[in-house]
Amino acid sequence: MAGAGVGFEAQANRKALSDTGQRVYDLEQWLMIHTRDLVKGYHGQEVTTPVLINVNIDVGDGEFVAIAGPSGSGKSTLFNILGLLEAPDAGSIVFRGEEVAGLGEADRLALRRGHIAYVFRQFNLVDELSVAENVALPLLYLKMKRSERRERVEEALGRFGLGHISRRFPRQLSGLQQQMTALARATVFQPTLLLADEPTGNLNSAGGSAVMEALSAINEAGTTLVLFTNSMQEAQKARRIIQLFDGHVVTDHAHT
Amino acid sequence: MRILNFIKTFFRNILLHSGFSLLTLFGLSIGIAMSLLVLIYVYYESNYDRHWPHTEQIFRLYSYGEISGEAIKSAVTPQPLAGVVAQAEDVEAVVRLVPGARKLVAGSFNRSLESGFFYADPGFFEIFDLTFLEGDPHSALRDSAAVVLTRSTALRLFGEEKVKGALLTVEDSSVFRVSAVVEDVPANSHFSFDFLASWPEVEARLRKHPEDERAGMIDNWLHLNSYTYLKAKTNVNVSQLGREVAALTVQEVEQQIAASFSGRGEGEGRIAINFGLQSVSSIHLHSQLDNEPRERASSLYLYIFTAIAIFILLVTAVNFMNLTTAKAARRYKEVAVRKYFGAGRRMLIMQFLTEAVAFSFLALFLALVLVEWLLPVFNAMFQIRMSVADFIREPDTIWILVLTMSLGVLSGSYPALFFSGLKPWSALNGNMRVSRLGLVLRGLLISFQTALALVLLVLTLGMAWQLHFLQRSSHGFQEEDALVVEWGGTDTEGLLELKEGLLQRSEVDKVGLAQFVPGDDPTVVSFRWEGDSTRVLLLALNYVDEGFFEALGAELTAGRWWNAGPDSSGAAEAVISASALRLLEQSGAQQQFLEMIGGRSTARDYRFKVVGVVADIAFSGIKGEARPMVFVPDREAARSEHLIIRLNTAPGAVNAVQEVWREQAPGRTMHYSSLAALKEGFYAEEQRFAHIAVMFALLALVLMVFGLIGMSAFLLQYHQKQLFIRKVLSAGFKDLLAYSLRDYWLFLAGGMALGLPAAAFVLQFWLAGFSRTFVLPFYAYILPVLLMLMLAFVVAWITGGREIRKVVDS
Repeated sequence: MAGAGVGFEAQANRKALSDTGQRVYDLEQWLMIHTRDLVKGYHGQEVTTPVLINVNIDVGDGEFVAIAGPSGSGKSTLFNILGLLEAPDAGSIVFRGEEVAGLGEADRLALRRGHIAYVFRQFNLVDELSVAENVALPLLYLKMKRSERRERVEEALGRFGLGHISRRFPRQLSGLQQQMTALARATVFQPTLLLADEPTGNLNSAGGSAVMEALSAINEAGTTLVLFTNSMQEAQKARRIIQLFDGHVVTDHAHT
Repeated sequence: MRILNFIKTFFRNILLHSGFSLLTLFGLSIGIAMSLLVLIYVYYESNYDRHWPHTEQIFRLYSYGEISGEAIKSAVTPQPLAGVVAQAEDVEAVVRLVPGARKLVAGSFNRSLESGFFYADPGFFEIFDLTFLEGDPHSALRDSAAVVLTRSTALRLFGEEKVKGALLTVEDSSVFRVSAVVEDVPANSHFSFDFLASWPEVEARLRKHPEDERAGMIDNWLHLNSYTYLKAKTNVNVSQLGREVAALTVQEVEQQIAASFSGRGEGEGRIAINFGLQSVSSIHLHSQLDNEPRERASSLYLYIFTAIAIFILLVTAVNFMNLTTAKAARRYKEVAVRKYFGAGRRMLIMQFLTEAVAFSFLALFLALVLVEWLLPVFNAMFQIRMSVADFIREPDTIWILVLTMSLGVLSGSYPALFFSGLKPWSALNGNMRVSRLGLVLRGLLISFQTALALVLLVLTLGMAWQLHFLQRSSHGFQEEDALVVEWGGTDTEGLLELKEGLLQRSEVDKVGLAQFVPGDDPTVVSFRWEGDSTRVLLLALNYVDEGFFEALGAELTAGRWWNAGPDSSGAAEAVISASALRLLEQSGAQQQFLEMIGGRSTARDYRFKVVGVVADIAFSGIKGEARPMVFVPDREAARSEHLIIRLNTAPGAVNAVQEVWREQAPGRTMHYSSLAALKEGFYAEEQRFAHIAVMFALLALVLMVFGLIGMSAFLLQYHQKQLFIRKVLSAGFKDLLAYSLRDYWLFLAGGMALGLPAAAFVLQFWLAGFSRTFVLPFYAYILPVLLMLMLAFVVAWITGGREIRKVVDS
């Protein structure tokens, strides 16, 4: 149940329990993400299908949290909402101390640009761009000098061992190389939050391990990491696991 | 920087999906090329006579008025007009341009029958500033027997350009000295000449020889035969100038009418002539006068063409949008990724607009290549001389760039809005759904393109049918096995001997002589019934010999052919055409004697006894009403300019004629054509428009095919999910193809249902301009429909079939 787990023992003095048993933070700016009673449904012509029901999640700055759940549990929708791509139907979502639930697309874009990065199961590299160009893509939308951009791309390519294939195109790469490129792209602008949606789902076990290691390294370097997965084994790599089922948060506990 | 990235992605996209991209690019290029061609044509036509320096100060005087209720509006004016107008205060210079007869002209290199011989006043080049290769504008027309040649004429007759001082022999008798060589008159001028000789010289000579029949026109205000141009002073009020001209001329004309018609100038027989001014640059498109020196164009056609050019661009743009978004799926991932990583809506709109503009410029480049390649065909079709270079040099070139830019923005606008509005997660998951409205809009566009192509196809067939019908209808002569030979010039010595010589050959059946033959524009002369002073009748007058009717194969409908020579009453005999008879009958008179009023001073006979009626001979085809005509004897072949030779079908008959010609008329070049070819020439204009219609019909078909490709590609994407579901439910290839393209056939059929009645209506509208028409057989409507269905089927099979096979094989 929400609030049942304790994710931030070290900061126990900073939190209190409300009358309803839910956690209330007195220093919200310490949190990366803080949601309250998130509701999201998909509206068909006659039926509305609830996808997320009263979801309360907190992710602290620098945390590595796994959100685990089977297909249809609402992971993808939560990914979009936490990634500030979609707005919830009801409830509150605070990103770095700012309420974003009522914001329009342009405002959400301004908040996430340069701060939130995404990694996908399908890699989602742009086929028409080379490895280096794919990595450079997020920098195009940030005001940055060409020289700085080149520097950052080279650094990112080096970090993920992609220097020798920087001129290749996605169709010339292995799955692992593609996902590494996606990781380089996600981290090239040094985001504060990285959302990874089943990043190992299209890889063999060796590839999967390599990607998980890379993700851990990214987190250790200071980026908050939220991993969406349907594999408990993978979720174990996180320090905290939130379990989602039929749109509800069923457990939220620290993993040691 | 971002733009460079956009363009890079765009070009890689083209390379990666080269087939479909090339198709889109090609569609866009064809659209741009066609509208450019049409716009170049419109530009060319609307810039006639704008190349003269001070063109806004140059005006042409024209004559208007009436003779017995018949309105006269003519580009030609009387000789004395120029002298009077020169007195007007606001006029800087006045010149006359007088067309000469066809002449046999010989230079040192060549000898030929020339029709571009004109005379002008010495000040001609002060108004019409042509570039002088040799000689100078001030003295070129001042010397007696001086002649100015154009560059191409000099080359034709002398084999070189620098021929100042060379001698030019005209009609084997008179000799001119070349005083200057000028550049050819620009093709987009309302007049053209090859030779220009001094008119005052001719005038002076005629004054010395009042017995010459042409001397009568010198001071005659009622004889219209020269073009008069004036250059106004700067900043002159044109209507003021017009009033000035009217005031100066009215008295002169009135006096002349009073003198010629013994005071008659009122009532039904009223004769009145006035003069107006028109700006030279307006002549080609807006002049509505008879006797123009060159063929004019209708401004209506230019409006239609401009509309067509804009329409082609619009359809091209919409087809581009269709083709771009039909294959949207392959861009979904890219757009989604860009959105995930910070691209805002505005940036994506910028990206897609940049792409479309880049695409348009790429297409423009290809289009210019296409235009360069198609221009000769187009020039031949429109019978003009345009070149891309002329057009590109103009400062208006900027409009091509603006137009291409706009086309890019227009065609990129929908893809830009469409892609920038995508939800990134839906795009990545393939959960895209295009609204039904989008489908209907695309469908309506297909219907519209289909209807248009159908209208143009049926119109093209209708035009071809009408031309065939006209050519097969009776023209009042038998065109088979008949030659028309130009004698050329006014010197008819030896003509009768030639005729005799020809008649002695077994290959020749009949020979006739005539002043005018089919294809000519016979002089219209005023007549009246003898004794009836109340009415003037305008009839075309043709001097012919007694062999003319049989050689031509004309058909006598009443009376008899005439005998040469005057009858006992002293009147010459005349044969009139059936339409002349109707006109005369309408006038209610029952007289047998016709009296010539106009041109009397130069005629030998002016009193004619009507002895026979001939079926109408179509001198300019049978598009309009037949022209009433009088055929009178040309005694001693004094006015004959042509021979009509009816051959028997023996092989080598033409050679026999040439043999006789060489013997009897040594040194004269034999210019001949078959009567059948002359008849064909009547419909050159219609033929030209039929060709243009064919071009537009083909273009419409091409655009329709591009539309259909876009539509089928779109429908397959639209129904993709359903296709997979049906495949799982074991639907076969044909079932899937039929299912996904239901709407394709529906909108196509809708377009045809719309197009057929529209085609019938447009065809009737075109046919209204003809006095004789036909009914287009029903299969002329069915054939285009079948053709279009076949094309639609091929498109469906190729584009649809490939996609469906992918689904089936997946």
